[in-house]
Parts: sequence; C-alpha cells; structure tokens
Amino acid sequence: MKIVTAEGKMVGHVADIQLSPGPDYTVVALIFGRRGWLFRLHILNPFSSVEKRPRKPKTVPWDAVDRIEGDTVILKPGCDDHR
Amino acid sequence: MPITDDQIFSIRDIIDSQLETREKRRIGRVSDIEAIWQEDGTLVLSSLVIGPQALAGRIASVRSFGSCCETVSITASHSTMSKILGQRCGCVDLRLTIPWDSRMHGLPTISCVGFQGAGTDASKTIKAVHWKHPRYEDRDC
Repeated sequence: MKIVTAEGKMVGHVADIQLSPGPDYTVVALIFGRRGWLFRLHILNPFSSVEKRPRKPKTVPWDAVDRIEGDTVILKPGCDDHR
Repeated sequence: MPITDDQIFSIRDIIDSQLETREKRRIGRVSDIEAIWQEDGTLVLSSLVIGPQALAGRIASVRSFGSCCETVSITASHSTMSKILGQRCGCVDLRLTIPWDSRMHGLPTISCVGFQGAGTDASKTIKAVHWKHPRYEDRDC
C-alpha cells in the first residue's frame, strides 16, 4: 500500500505498522521505505549490540493519515515532513 | 538514547506467532489481524485471525493489516469484535477470529471459538490462550 501526501506526492510503501506497547495496542505509525522493509525482516541493524547509533526506519505517524482510498494511504495536508 | 529495533513494537512481532491454549494446545498461527477504526481516528487491534483463508487473505482480501502491509487495502470500521465465519459456497472455512480483549492486560483471549466444518468444536476446550512469542513467552491470560 503506497503512501502519498495530500498533494499527491509519493512518500513510499507501507512495510510495517508500529503499535503502542499496550494494553490497547493502537496503531502509532506506518513504517515505510527501504529501511522499513529491512526492519520488518529484522535486518535493519544486524549489529545493533555494538552499534552506537542504530538506524531507525522511516515512519509516518498515524495522526497524519487522513484517509485510505483503494490501495493508497493519503496524508493530511501539511503532513509531508515525515521522519 | 537511540531507539533500537527491539523497542519498536510492530505487526511483525505478532504476525505468524504461535497461538496456544492454556493447556498448551496449539491452535494455529496468527495469519492476520483485524482492527477497528474508531471515531476519534485511532486504529485499535481487535482480533487475531488464523486459518488458511486468513493466510490467503493477506494477499487477496481487504480489511486487515496483512492486506495493508502487502498489497491491498484496509477499510474503515468493523462493527463486530469477534466473529467466526462459517461455510461459504461449499468450502470449509477454517477462519477463526480471536477477540483482543484489552481489559485482560492486553493479552488475546478467546470468548467464542469454533472450527466450523472441521469436524471439531473447540469452544468447550479452549478457554483462553496465551500468546507464544519470544518476547512474551511466559505471559498468560
């Protein structure tokens, strides 16, 4: 599922979905991009135990999601500054 | 302090995990997860879905996280928290959804289960499950 901004600019594809640790288990963010896929496959930081600054996958907060149409996640206007 | 992979809890930590009853009876792996899109905009996990059709649904159907992650789409709200789909078009439906009861410390519980068409009725034997995952191996309902 692809993620686009309100203006239609492509952001990336959803690789994983970040959850709150519980007890409600709500969706916190969408993880996307190349790092997101590496994260999903558990190989984003293969040497995390010795890395001082492990890489983080790119995320879009769920609050920034406006709606989902077909196979596209559309972000709210002004929410194109994702990490 | 930097965030490590282990500190990010995501769908990958749940999907494909083994589900067991309290009696250690294996009832399947988590094939998919259903969620409810609430009026306040939050998306809350509602059910664990297991069974071959659910697994296939990760590629072919809608309304689930698996679909959202893979190829298709996620729709708006679900009206029910738990449901068991029966036979359709002569095909045996082994899909089982497990309501996610957040009141039980966030652990999945079974309130109503059954394997329609499978020749068994597990609803009398399965009272609860614990979620067998490396990170939550010993937690029980």
